[in-house]
Amino acid sequence: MNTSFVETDEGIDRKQQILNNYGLEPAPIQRNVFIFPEDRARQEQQIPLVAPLWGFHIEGKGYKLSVPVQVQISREGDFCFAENEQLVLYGSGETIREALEDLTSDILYFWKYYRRLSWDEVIGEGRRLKEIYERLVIEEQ
Amino acid sequence: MEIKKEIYPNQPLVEVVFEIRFPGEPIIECKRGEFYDKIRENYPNVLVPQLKAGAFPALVPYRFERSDGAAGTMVAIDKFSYYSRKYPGYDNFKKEFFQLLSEFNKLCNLNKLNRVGWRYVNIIPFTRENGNIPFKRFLNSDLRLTKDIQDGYENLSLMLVSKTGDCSITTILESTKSSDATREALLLDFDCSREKDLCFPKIETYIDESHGTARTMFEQMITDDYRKYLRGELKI
Repeated sequence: MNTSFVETDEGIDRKQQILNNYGLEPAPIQRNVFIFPEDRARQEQQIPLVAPLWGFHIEGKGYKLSVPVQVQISREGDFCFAENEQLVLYGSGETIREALEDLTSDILYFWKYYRRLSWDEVIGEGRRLKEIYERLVIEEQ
Repeated sequence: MEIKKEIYPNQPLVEVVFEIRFPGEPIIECKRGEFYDKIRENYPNVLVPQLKAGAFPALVPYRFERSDGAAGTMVAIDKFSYYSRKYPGYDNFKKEFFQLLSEFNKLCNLNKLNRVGWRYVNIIPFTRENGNIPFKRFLNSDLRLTKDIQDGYENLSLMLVSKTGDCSITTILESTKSSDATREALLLDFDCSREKDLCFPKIETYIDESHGTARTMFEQMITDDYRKYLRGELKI
């Protein structure tokens, strides 16, 4: 059966058999992408809670992270938060951008801080964080 | 060329679909209940289409879905498809598709094809850099249209249609966000289809071919760093 009612001989014959109250418009068969609008809405809800942060800019300077930092962004009332558990850091602000800038300025601060410390000045949690920060940030040219 | 079948622990796939279309068979409307009866144990949820004005009911598919929504099948008088939202890897996907098709075809005796299509929908979450989408971190292409565009893009919506052999590939790249705007992602959606010289017994060749095309495109588009991230090798 041809569902598109195209103007072939067969189509014209079949059109003549169609009752008067039946629409003669061709059925709109999508040829390329079969996307249902409800699928798009569902896919948007499937965006994971955490997203990788690969780099940032501070005061016009670019920094790349050697390992992406997993950032969870949330909103509570009028405030936004961007946090990472491993680095025990969170940034906050009135917008997501402000929260991210707050978080990345802390990453930059602690990267400089831990690189200044020598290995015999850190133990326990401090040592763990120094190991992470040591090679975390790369200044982009 | 060997097609990659590696399943990434952090895979961005949110939906994979393989669909066949055929000349309309009204018997499908009569046999839909029997088909459901055969698969209801694994696909108990019945989702009926909500029709919009001007829609043709026989062409809008019913869905029979797993109770957790992880996979399902869609049937209308001119199409049959299987979809998975928790992609189990290509071999398992293909096996399930053919099991369902076999049950379906025992009832409907299909023997012609109009179109076969494979969809591969990826959601790639990101955090902005300098207010822009850092797609260079994920994708090999920098998508720079002119040299004046130095900083990248705040938003993106791109559809490309290309051909590889007999396969037509529609690629959609879009930025998208959750309804509360806290989560953002790149939507990378491939639709590989073939409409010419189709022969029903060769469906397995077509599914292999369209999967191969989509997977190869994905692998060629992503950066090595992002591949490592998908493997779980890179992250804090």
